[in-house]
Amino acid sequence: MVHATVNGERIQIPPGTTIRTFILSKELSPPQIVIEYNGEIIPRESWDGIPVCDGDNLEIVKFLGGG
Amino acid sequence: MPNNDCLTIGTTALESRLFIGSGKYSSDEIIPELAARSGAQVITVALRRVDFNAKQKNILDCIPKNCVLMPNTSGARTADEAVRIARLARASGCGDWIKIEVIQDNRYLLPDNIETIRATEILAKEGFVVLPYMSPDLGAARRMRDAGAAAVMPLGAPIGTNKGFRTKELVSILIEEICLPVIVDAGIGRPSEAAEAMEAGAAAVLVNTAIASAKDPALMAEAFGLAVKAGRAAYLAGAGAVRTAAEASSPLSGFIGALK
Repeated sequence: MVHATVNGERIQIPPGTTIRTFILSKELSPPQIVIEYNGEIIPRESWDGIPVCDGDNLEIVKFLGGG
Repeated sequence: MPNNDCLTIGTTALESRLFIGSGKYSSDEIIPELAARSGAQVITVALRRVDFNAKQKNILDCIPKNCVLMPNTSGARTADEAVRIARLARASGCGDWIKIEVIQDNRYLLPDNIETIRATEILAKEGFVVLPYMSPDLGAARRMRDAGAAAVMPLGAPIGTNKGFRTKELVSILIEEICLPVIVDAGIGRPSEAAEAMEAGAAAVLVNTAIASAKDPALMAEAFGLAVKAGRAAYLAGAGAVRTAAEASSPLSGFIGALK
């Protein structure tokens, strides 16, 4: 299993899981979220080509209500 | 009201001078009605980590297509954090506007002007349309203007308090001295207070809690829309002088003769 950190939580995911696969597994719709991968913002079109590796750190964010 | 009284921020001409927030509502689904009833064309949102345990609704589905999205950098405690949040917000593809909100004070949520100036410098250079939320200090506002802010947004009172336009004296100085739109943001609790800010020459007001905390948010949103229009019209009309002594409304002659 691959050990990574997503939104501050340590998780385990099957090897070979791409960012896009991970997003879809969480029933998230790509247009509503933005992803920072190891400190860099990753455009949506790249999600499919990036496998999540050991030690990776993802921040997955979306808009919500605010003033 | 003159036809051509649009507020231009960046390259966007706005007919409405009321901006509304999207927080604290019972449901995001009321947002379209609030926008329609108030006439607001700018809606703020925040950016947060996705909660994987929650139902994945998308607030963007509730933002009318004719409205400008203004993400804020709430959560940022430093300029660098604000810049990071702003870049994430822009990566969503929803536009270039950003409300810089840098707050270290947890009790009053007062903005840190110094960090806000730094964030303005960085983000304006990166082509954002920057609207910094700030404490009404003329020196800070000048620095934000010089750094490329599209407007300044001084608080009316601490966020969420509904206390009203408590900073009127200092905001009036900004309005007088800064050649940028001055948008009163935070603390406005009643439509009359929004009108007061507009009468004082504010370019716009931003309201969230006052609408969200009302018994009838949609009706309150409508009231705010009317108040902002009234206050703006009053400002353009040029209010009469305030006097100490009375001045009669009708001539002091030609009275009917006294009864004998």
